[in-house]
Amino acid sequence: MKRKATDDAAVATSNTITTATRMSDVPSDGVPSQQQLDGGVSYNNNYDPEPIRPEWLELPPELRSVDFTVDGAAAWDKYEPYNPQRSLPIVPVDTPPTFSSSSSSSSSALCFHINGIDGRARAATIHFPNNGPPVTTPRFMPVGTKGTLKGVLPDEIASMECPIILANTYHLAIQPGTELIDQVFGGLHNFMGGIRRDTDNNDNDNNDNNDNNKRLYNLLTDSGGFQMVSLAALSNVTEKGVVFQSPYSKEHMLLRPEDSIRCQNEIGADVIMQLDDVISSVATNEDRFRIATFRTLRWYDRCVQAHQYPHRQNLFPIVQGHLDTSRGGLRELCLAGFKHRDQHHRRIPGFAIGGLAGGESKDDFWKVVDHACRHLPDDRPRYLMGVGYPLDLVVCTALGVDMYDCVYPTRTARFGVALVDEGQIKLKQHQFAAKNPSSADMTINNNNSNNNNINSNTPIDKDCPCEACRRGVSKERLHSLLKANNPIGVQLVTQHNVTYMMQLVTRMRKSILERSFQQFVQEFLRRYFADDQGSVPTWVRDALQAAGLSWRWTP
Amino acid sequence: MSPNPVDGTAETSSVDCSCSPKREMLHLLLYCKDGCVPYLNPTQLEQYFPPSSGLWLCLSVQDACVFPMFDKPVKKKAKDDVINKKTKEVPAEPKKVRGYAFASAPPDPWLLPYTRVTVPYFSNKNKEQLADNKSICVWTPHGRQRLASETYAKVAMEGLQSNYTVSLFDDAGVSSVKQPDSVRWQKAHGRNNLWLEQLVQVAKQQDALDRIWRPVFLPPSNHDDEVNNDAMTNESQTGSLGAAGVAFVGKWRHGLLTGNNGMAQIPDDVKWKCLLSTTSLLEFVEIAAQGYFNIVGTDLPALWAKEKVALIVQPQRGPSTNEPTAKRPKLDADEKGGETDHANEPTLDFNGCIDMSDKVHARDPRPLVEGCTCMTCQHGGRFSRGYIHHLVCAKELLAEILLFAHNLHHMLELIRLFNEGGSDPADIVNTIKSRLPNAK
Repeated sequence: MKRKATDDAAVATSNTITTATRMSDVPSDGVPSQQQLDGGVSYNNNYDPEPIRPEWLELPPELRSVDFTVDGAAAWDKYEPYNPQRSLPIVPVDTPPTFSSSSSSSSSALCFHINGIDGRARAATIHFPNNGPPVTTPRFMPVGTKGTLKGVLPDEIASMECPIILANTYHLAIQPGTELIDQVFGGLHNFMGGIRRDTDNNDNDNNDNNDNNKRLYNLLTDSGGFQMVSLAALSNVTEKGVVFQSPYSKEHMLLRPEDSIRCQNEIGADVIMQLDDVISSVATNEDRFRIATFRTLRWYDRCVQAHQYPHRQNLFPIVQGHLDTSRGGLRELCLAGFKHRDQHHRRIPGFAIGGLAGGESKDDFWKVVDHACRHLPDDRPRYLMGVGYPLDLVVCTALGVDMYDCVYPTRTARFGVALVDEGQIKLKQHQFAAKNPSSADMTINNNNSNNNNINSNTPIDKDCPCEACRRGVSKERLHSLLKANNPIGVQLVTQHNVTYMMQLVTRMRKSILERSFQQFVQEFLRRYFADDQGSVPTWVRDALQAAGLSWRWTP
Repeated sequence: MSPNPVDGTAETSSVDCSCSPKREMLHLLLYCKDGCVPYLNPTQLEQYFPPSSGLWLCLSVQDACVFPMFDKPVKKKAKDDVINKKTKEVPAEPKKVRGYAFASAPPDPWLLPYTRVTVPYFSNKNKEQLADNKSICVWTPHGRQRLASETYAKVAMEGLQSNYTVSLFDDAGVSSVKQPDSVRWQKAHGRNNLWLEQLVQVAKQQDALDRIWRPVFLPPSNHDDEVNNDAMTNESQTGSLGAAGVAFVGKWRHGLLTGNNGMAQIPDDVKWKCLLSTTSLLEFVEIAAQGYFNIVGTDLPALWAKEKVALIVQPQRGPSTNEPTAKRPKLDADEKGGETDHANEPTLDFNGCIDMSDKVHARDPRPLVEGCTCMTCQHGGRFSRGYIHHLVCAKELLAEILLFAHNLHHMLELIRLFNEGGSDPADIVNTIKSRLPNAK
């Protein structure tokens, strides 16, 4: 099923980019020569900029006139509670979307309605013009790395009330290839079987706006930058792009912002991410952070330039800047750069907060999130990348974040770990094995005296609507399936964890709409820390305090 | 039961439908390892393979009823009570598994609407069957365990609560390529009868005699015919001992129903005649076509899913636009693959399956089988061949799930075709045979 053909110029550009990325002249020793790459290349795993161009460290021209001594110089479009003089437009929950680039709350490819606030926490709805389900926030997006959510069918994704999932551009570009996804299958939605055709017809017309063709979920793709620097061997960042070694062909590839956007255009996700200069949050080279911050702004411009479908795919920039939240620091510089672009070029439909979840301290983590939420526009969605621990979600929602993604729930499921409000249940542990059968009477006894507190013969969570818990599959049963390496065990635990995350964000949303988010947070912390207030970490206390919430609960 | 065949040739000879004048309704008995249907969660099972689809489930004590045992609390002298020499119980270390044992466990509730058959094991890897009159060694997921006949009777009848239970058996190496030792065969035969009697006694106490099936062994093809005839006569003369069904263990081959063969002498009041294992598509359809058996057991859908192959051969007459040719021209080595090129169709294997790891599927937007209404192919091919190929390349579990659902659906469709009676069973078999490679 083919999409509408792009114009000739775009096709020519695409071919040029494809050729450029192949680097077929790489010498036989596998190491690109200095002539083949721009400056700033190193051939070891540590970035060793040589030579660094002076302009990479200089303040970009658009920021030279910004007075960072003024409070909130890098903030814009702020409403209550940040700006008490400006009321946030609250829209009733079922309000139909409008898609207009001239509207203050929407673009032609995204409509953002805020349905309620409670302190800094927001409950909103994101609409896409694609016949897909609305995305309510707070929202967790499970990661379907290679075009599938491990062992879960598209119908099951929808039945778990999951309106949006994430796919990895890097993995899909390598296998099967984004060009194939686009030209043969008409985009990743079609490829994954994520479109339900209500009439059983043989019409192959891929008209996404056809009422008979409903998308079961929406898609967000990342740029591939993080995977390249974390997974690929010989990964080096240059001004042109990221040089990496393909894990399959072993040849050297150059992924430029243009290439990343082209791949994401071909995938056809509803939200796409810019290619940013990703630096580990535990690195220490200050100059490198500065280069990465400004390069992220330049690469965003190139991504916008290369983006072929702004009217149906929303390009989110990623706020970088290491952990520097000082006034006039790197984070503010990056924010100010995006502010300039939003106000003077093209309206940005939403923002991502990057550079976190990479090993930094929790104290730094929440401060960066807090800083970003205080500065980013309130009438656009805010997406915190790579965060997926339930506790982190609750705290960051209190600070004002709307969207999250992480491999944690699905990955930990494959290790037999189930998520609950109290933390984790490690189902593979022996305590969840069926009880000792006695020698004569070989009957599993529910009243076995061992492990009475474990209740291994009960479901993970009796109130959970997932497949396993709803059917009464006991922890014992899951334990035996997991120990036997039966795929059903992994499938059931994966579905439980995804359902749990969906239920968590739904409960958060409900409490925000009912203006009882404070009580929700207190109850969550009470269960999570087993009613021991002393166990609540300092960073959680500080973060909630900054959000204007009390972390203490009534014993 | 016999292991899967490793040769790639399909069995070739004409179908013999002369032995059973009246066709029984046929059912497919699916192996359910670990006591659950492979790959499908309860909702998928109920939605796509309801009990009315003719699907029966085969559970084995070998993997569904083996549980770890932990150290029991030990009594140790209390350190501070040496004078009184009192001892106290020290809690057992929870992590230390002492061994494994067979124990009863109820089946998963969503399996209860299905007709279930319990067997001792699906396959036993023992080259030498270690058995005595009281027990037999069984290979479980946790190593070799000894399964006592009393334990089996209790676990199978009271624990798994299946509709039918095959009595414990020692197959005496019928799967072995060597001729079984006659002494061993005699001993195994004696044990099997003893165990059947024990199970029948248990069943009588529970008024459940109609739930018992006795095992009957099919002699391998390389065994002496005289020995075979003696064996089969021996089996039939023993009779069913009141059992409601007979489960044939071993590899089916032609000729076992003809002449004065003992199988033909199975009493008529035996309602259920089940062949526990079929190992190829052709074998499956030929046995289904004969009409002698009313239950045919197989693990093929799951095996094919694990091998990443999809069953696509169809028994309908006329050309199918979806079926590849048995041969295909050589692919151009530099070919990158444009749109689907029917000249480069994938090849069918001897089971009528296509290998989904074949690169020829990479750009194929078609479903596995056009018009198929299975979970994978429905709605005009929601999951295309190209997507399934990608999942196979990416080593994703979803590939096996989709392939299993399709393969099982296809096999149930074959069963339905035989049951409908609209076509001559021999015609169905010949049609399928004509589409398989290497079939004469």
